[in-house]
Amino acid sequence: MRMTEKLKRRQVLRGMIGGAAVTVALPYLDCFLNSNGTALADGTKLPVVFTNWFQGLGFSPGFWEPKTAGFNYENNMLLKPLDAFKKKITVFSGMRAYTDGNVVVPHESGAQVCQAGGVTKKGQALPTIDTIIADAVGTRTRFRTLEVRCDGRTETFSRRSASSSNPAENAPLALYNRIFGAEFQDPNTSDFTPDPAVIARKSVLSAVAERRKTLMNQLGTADKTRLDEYFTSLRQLEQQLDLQLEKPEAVPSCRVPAAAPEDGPRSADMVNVRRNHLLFSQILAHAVACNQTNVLGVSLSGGTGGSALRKAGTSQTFHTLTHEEQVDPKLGYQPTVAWFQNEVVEIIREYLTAFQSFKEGPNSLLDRSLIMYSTDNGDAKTHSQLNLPLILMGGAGGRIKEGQHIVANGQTVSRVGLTIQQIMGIPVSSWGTESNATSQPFTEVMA
Amino acid sequence: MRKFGLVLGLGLAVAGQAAAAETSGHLVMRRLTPEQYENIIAETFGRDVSSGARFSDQTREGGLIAISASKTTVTGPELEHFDSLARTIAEKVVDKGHRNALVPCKPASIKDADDACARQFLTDVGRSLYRRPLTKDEADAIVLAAGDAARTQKSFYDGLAHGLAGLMISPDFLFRVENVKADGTLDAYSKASRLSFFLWNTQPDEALLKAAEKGNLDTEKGLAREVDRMIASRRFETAVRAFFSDLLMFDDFNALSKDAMIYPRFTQQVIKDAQEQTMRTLVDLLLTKRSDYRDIFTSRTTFLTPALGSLYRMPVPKTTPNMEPADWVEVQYPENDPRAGILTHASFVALHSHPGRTSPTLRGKALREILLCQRVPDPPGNVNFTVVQDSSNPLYKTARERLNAHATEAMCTGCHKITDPMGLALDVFDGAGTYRTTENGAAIDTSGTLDGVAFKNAVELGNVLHNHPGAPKCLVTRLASYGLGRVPAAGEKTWIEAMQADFAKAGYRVPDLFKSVATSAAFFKVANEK
Amino acid sequence: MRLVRGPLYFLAVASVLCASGAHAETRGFVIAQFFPAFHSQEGDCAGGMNLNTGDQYDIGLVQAGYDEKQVAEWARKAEDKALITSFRDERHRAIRDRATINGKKVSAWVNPQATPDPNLNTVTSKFALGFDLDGKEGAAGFENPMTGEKGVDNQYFRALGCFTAHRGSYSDRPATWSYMWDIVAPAMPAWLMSVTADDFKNGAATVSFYRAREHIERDVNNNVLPDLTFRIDPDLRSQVSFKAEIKDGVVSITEHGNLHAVWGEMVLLTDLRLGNTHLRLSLRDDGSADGVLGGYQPWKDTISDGYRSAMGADSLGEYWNIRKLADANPDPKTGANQDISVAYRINAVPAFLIPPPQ
Repeated sequence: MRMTEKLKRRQVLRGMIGGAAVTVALPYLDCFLNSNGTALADGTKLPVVFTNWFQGLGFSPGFWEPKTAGFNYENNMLLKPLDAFKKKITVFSGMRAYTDGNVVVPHESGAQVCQAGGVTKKGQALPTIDTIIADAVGTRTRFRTLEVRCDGRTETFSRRSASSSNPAENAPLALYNRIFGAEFQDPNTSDFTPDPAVIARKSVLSAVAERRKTLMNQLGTADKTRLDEYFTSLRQLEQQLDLQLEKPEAVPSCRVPAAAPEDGPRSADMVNVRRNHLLFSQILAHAVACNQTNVLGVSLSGGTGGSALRKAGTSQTFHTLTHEEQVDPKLGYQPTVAWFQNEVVEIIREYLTAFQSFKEGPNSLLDRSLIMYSTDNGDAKTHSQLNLPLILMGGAGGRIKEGQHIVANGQTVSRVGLTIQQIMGIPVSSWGTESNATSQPFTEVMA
Repeated sequence: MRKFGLVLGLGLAVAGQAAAAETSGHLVMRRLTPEQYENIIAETFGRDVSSGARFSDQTREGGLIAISASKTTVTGPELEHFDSLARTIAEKVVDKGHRNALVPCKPASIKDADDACARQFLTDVGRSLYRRPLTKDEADAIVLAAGDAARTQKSFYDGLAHGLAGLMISPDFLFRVENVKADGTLDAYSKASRLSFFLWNTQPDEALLKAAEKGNLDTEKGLAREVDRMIASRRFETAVRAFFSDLLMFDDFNALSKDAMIYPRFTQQVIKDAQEQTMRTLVDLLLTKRSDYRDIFTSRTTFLTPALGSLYRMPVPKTTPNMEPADWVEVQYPENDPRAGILTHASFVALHSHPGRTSPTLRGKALREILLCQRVPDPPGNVNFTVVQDSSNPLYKTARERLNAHATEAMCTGCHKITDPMGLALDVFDGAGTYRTTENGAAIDTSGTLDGVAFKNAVELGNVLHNHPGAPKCLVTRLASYGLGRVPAAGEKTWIEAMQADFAKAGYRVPDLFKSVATSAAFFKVANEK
Repeated sequence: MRLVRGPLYFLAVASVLCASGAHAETRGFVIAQFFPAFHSQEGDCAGGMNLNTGDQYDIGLVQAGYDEKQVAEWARKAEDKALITSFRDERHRAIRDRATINGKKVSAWVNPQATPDPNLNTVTSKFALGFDLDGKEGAAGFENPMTGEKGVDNQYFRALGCFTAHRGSYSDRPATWSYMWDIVAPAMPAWLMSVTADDFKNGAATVSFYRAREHIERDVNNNVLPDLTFRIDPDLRSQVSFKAEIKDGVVSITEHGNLHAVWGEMVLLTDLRLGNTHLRLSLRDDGSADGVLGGYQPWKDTISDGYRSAMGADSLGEYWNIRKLADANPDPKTGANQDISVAYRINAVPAFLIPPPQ
């Protein structure tokens, strides 16, 4: 029954190629999600949403690495606030950013290697992982990426090239208006115009499919079976395009936020930063649920800009404290620095909570999210590029085996970036430059 | 399912003939390897239009991935990957920075279709990608699709990119599909492809396609001329590397991990360099010097980097300025050195070890299976390995003592006798490849026998392997299998034996062996099966 | 020898560093860690710890003549902006221009001598690492907590030990140093050392220092990679040898000459120049070595431009403390001491050293 409809649609689309774009109005289907909520009714998976979550200055070494390796790890002091989400979190420890004889730029080099796979040399710029992912999966949504920063500033590490860095929204109200303002097309009510590029791809795939008959005649039985499998794969690809040519499925979980947020002061006081972050994460969750984007960038503060984060009522910034505060001999760490780090983890928890509480069927937005926490230093006190903490969070639509602590001593952090790209379905077999080049994703976290 | 699928299925059943006799070998449709995919893209469009092809898993059959490439298909996620890759490459080819160099004509309008220009480009490129000229129907279909796309998107180059992407996800590109002439023999273009993938690991160049067109590959003389030309080309090294990388299972390095506390020098750099050390040694010996193949087991010449120097505890100076990547240094081990031949390379001893300790058994098994084509049975399911695994047990200080204790269990003795003596000779190289003379304070005894011939240490083991008649025979079998994409059939035994004899007679020169395979009738054989 | 004990492997290399004596062996090392040898303990600053940079700046501004209210206002504004401060910022201009020459406000970083001495706290404890350089116990002499040696001269520690960013011990690097070292070490040509002796337990020895032509590498656990090969820089300025003796595996320099190491890239110290060089180096069974290097260092060498803008301590306070505590080599004209007693920690791992082409 559905097949007949598809074939008709193919004919319709084919007839329309070369003509004017046609608005196709299609009837609603009343059940869009299958029983486990991970897919649309016809089996198409909901997209995985990637978040590049950054905060500089890292965590004090020895106090964040889980105490045990593998599954069911035991969290160390600093990551304890994430205990409730442990099954959806994989922590990587011992990894480093190779700087290959380049002078280390204290609050940039490590972040660059985590996010772009290598140290950026003068006059060059490597694309960051969020833009790589956005280029691959973000083309079907209204926004390729949405970037926010919570301490009032707008710079981020995110960039596609030397000349195109991605500035962040620094105020929740502006972000809200950008997404849910006048140009917002509610997927549950609007008309639909098919994308001509998809129509074009469809006709190319049809041309490829025509090869089947001739080829099949040339081959032996075993090879016929293999070729038949190839054409089945091709058919799946065509079906994906068919879906894109239909009016987007209504998104039952898409809701416009009830009210526009109120902006607070643009300052780096932790109270304010945390408030901004919470507002941002709620708006972003709504945006993702309404299919506005699949790639997010969240910077709590910047790299060196991390210096600006302050505890209310004190003059010392987080950054200065990492260098100046004495290690408490009894505790073994810098106490105020640890307070900031604890705040950062609490804020990460709030991000996870915002996505977890957004339900899509029996699952949540967190279940189809892949969130990478990365930072700039393994030990901010010494600007160390060793033992950088990297954390992957969320269920990635079932494509990841979360809940592990992976000890990867001395290995380049770009392995995590490669893993993420492959999880996101990007066709890369290797990533990174010089010593950070790797062709080894962490297959143990790939489902 | 496609509506004409059923009709086709019936048609095939009618066209199908009797299955091939087991003795003749049959036609196989091979999937491109990721390396071949990348090589073809680079040859066609240049290195800067990079790719990044991958298949989800590569299994090994008959000791080779090349054989399993004849049995695998393209799954849905893989095709999605290749579709995305094809579009990325196609967009780059037609972008402003590349189109002038890569597209041979200019459209009448960049905002509209131009079938003539699209045809010129797509048939040109199609010939390179499909390794044969496009048929008229194929050309018409892809030009039509590109034209449709150009009109829909109001851009000639967007249309062209769609057409090109179509070529790159087609089965004619992703698989090595071969054509059989009416008389049942392989057509000339399919011959050219077999040659070029075997001798270059990439598609035929224009000269080879021309030779195919003219029928040169159908004559003994013409074929020999092309094979000689190809072996003389720099690209031949690529193929030799691809073959040995497959043979020596270097793909396993992707999954190799070592215990950082036990082997802290086994860095990512070492993993890269260890493979390249062996490759450079092989290329130098077998191609540059045209030495006897068996010398790979005894040669005291190798190539090292400072990172390997640290692993091997040998001085290897950097020869490049600070901040620049290290260059390779040619090294000659002295006569009394404990190292000689590829068995003592980290690429062998570290690859065939456990993460935190050596494994005489794995090393011996690898030696027999990879280099002698022998089959070592897997251990039975219910074995107690505790004694072998506990290298801290004060009762058994060395691996030999532990294995002896383990092998007192009768059911283990038989197999361990096959593998362990050679592995124990290599036990002076720890699980990362660093030389040592003791384990837990006890001296390591490296003596043993291989198929009845005694040796005192790893260097002598190399000599024994050098003189083992099975080693060069194994190489011939493996190379033939690699070239055919299948295990040679029973009826091809005579052919293999003849090549083994020729290989020995001519002094075990590997380039000559490639030529023997590439110029043999069996190499171009077609199945009766259709 | 460690370097040439094995046969020569390389046709390309004429010779690996060779020992001179018939039976002598030379062991090569690359210096993995180098940092001030401090011995910070609870209560070693009777005057209390010095303030953190920001608070000390405010005091400095008042000392430089600014109104307290003004200083407080600046501090408030600096917080309000919540951004990285820049020198365009009023407060920072004031901080920078705390020096006065001929009645004009000029940069304190360039003219620290033209600023008032903030008289910051110095170390008052009796213990320090280092050596008795002047042969006198003296009032300024410390006691070495590890060897019991009295009269230890380490005024550098005395000058800096009460700044949080400089606190350290035999095993712990001061924060300021460690981050500077970690920044440059991946790029800076490494610093090499060799010990030549017939017997590495007891007897005569020679200790040499060299600059390498390549930087250190790290192993999987981020420790400095041992057994790497380094080429010795042919620049003679960075090559120096000392007569030494070994007792129970501990190497000591016996003829205390000058040491010079050119460290162009090192932010804290572009040149390491020591007079009256002392060394106490323990040779470990695993091939590594660790110990203390000491001597008199021109005090101005320890105050480079990079130093002045370094984070973590009041740099004018450091300047005045070091200058005041300089304890050797008086200027013939002014009588002011030009050198200060110092001690540095050395950790080294085995390496192959290749001498420069002749």
